[in-house]
Amino acid sequence: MHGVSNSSIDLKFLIGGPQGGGIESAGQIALKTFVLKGYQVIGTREYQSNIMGAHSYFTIRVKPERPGAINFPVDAATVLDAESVLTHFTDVKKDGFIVYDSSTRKTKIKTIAPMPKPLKERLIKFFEERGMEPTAESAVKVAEENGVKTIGLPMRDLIRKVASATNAPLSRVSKTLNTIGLATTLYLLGVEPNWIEKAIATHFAAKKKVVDMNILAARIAIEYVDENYGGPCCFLPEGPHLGKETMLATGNEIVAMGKVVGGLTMQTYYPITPASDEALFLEGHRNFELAPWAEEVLGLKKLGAVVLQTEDELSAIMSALGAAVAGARTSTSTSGPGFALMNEAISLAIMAEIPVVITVWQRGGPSTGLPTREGQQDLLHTLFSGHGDNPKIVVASGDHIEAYYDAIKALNWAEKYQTPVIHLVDKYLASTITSLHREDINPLKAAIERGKFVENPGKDYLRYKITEDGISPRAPMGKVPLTWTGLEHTEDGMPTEDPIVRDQMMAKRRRKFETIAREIPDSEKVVLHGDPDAKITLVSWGSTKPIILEAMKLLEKDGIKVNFLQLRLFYPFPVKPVLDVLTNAELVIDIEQNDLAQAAFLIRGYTGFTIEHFVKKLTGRALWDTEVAHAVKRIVETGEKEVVVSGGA
Amino acid sequence: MSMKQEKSDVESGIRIDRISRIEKKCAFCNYWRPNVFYSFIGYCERHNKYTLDIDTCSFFEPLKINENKLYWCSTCKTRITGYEALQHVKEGHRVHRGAYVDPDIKEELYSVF
Ligand SMILES: [Zn+2]
Ligand SMILES: [Zn+2]
Repeated sequence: MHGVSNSSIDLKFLIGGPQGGGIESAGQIALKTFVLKGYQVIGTREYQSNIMGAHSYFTIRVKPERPGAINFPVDAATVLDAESVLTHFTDVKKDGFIVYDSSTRKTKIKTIAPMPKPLKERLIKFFEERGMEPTAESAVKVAEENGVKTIGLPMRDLIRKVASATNAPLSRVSKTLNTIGLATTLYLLGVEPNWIEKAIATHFAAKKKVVDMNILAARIAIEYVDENYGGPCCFLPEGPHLGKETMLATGNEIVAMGKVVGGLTMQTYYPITPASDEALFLEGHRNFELAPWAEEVLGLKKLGAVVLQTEDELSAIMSALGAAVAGARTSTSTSGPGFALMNEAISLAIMAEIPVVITVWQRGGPSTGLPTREGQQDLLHTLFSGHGDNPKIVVASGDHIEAYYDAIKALNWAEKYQTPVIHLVDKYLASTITSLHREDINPLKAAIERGKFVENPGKDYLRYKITEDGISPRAPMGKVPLTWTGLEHTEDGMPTEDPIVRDQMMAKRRRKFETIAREIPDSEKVVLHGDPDAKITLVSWGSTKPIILEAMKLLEKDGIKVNFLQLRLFYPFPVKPVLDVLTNAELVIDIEQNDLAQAAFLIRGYTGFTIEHFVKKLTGRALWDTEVAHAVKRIVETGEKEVVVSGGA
Repeated sequence: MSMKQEKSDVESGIRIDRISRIEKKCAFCNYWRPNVFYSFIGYCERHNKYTLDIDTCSFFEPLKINENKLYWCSTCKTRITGYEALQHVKEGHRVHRGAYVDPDIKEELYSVF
């Protein structure tokens, strides 16, 4: 690719294999390779809920600027076992390539136990119709017929070669198997070996022996490819961000970082996918030393919060509420099933006006549903959680950067307005890694606010003092005698059923929500992307944001001009800003990853505006920009009511 | 269970070469446990080291299956009873006394609950 400018680079590839078999490390090394080379990346994981050995894969996209979405077919696939070969042999585009372990060729579909039965049946039928044996070898042949180059690596021999060259035991050498596959792929994609080696060194950092062995494995792989298949035609140019300090983070991690920077003092949780990794990251950074620049910016030497793992979700939220009453800045995180168990406490937090942030990492439901897959099915569940009249704040983040700032804002809002704040995020965001620069997540852009927090209440202090804005000064436990209760109460917190006080307190809480609606600027409630005068408006929320932004570019190339209304704040609902946009459009298309079209349902309820067209994805797999573009195009051209997309293995 | 009983259980098992065609390689050896993910690599208890499935040594002993014990089928990537193991072997599956899980596995797994 000599003479090719880096602006045209758009690479997509996947790494598939048994879950736990080095797919995660390989994915991360791949991302690091391109970041070091000056590009921006996203990588997203698809994995099964039955932890070990089942098929998982990591899809990566590389561009000069941050890619907003992945899509298929890809340019290359590294498939480390027979199940992966058979899952992805049609996922590679013509002139692309597949790197696989040649010893898997003879594997019969019916002997691959972890492979889901419906997929086995589809594959067996697929090969039967072509008069082919139901084996991995047939998959390789079909790929070749489709114009895909297939690179079979003799893994046993290569592993043995690494072992004899390093004199290391096979137990350790065996762990370079992913590196052998990955290095082959990166090299054939046009990455010079020195970049691959730099990425390996960065990834394994302090473990010198591991670094050396993996570098050697990469060299042996590249040597084998050169001898048997020939190297790449040419090498990729360096990207525009060469030498720039770049961070890679998952959605789970970026939310945890936002919380720490936002002054979180205690996080509680009960383990659940895809939320746990956020709490685990916080646990890993309970009291960490800041880098010199951060120390200077924040004026702090160390940061971190207390993390408490409780025996269940009800206990998790109650512990968070307890700590909040004592003056801590608290949050808990969970997903749909765990949130269901927190219901009772949410109502208590509203009545007793206790601040808490609940980060809800949505996944595919109902029930345990698809524990490790994407879903946006908990909008109504969270919005209407808790019994009684129960206003709360519900905010949804569209990408890593929003999720970071929202995590900080949520903590601020919870304390300022003394109410639960539900931060809606999802599995796609949780397990998507993206590259970020320092200016993308500037801690100074969101200061810590605690609202009417009083350290020294006088003896006349009233915890639930009736005020004009509905917000009472909040003192922590331990300064003066205080009462908290889920019962209706007087200004001093004592239970009462007095009708006059009841009305006053209901009105106070209502005024608080009017204050919230007034104080949070419209720009933080909805965002209109694209030309405000476009005749077609796409409506969506959550992690579909960057995907839709990419789809808009594809649509524009097809001569279809759209804008995109991204809903951010669901409670209090921004009626006017939403209506202003929707009434201006000739065609409105709602895009969601739930079957009820929950946001469209809310829009109708709050504004009376009925959306008639829908794009949905329900498989739990990552939404692609190309899928969105095709679906929108189809609706525009045919007037179809609903298009359901379902790409991805 | 005492070592003595353990030994006699193994001895009382059915040798897999009596019920299926096998080769004199680690993959079929009584001392060998494959890696959970990549079953062509495994741990030899006799020599306390990793070998490839196609390796062999003078201590080779065909796997013996006792109906009352548990086994690992690397074809099915699952734990099975001895009773089931006999069936899997007859169907040509690779059955072993157990599997080997690398202690660094935590670096590769996401929390799933
Ligand atoms: Zn042996
Ligand atoms: Zn089996």
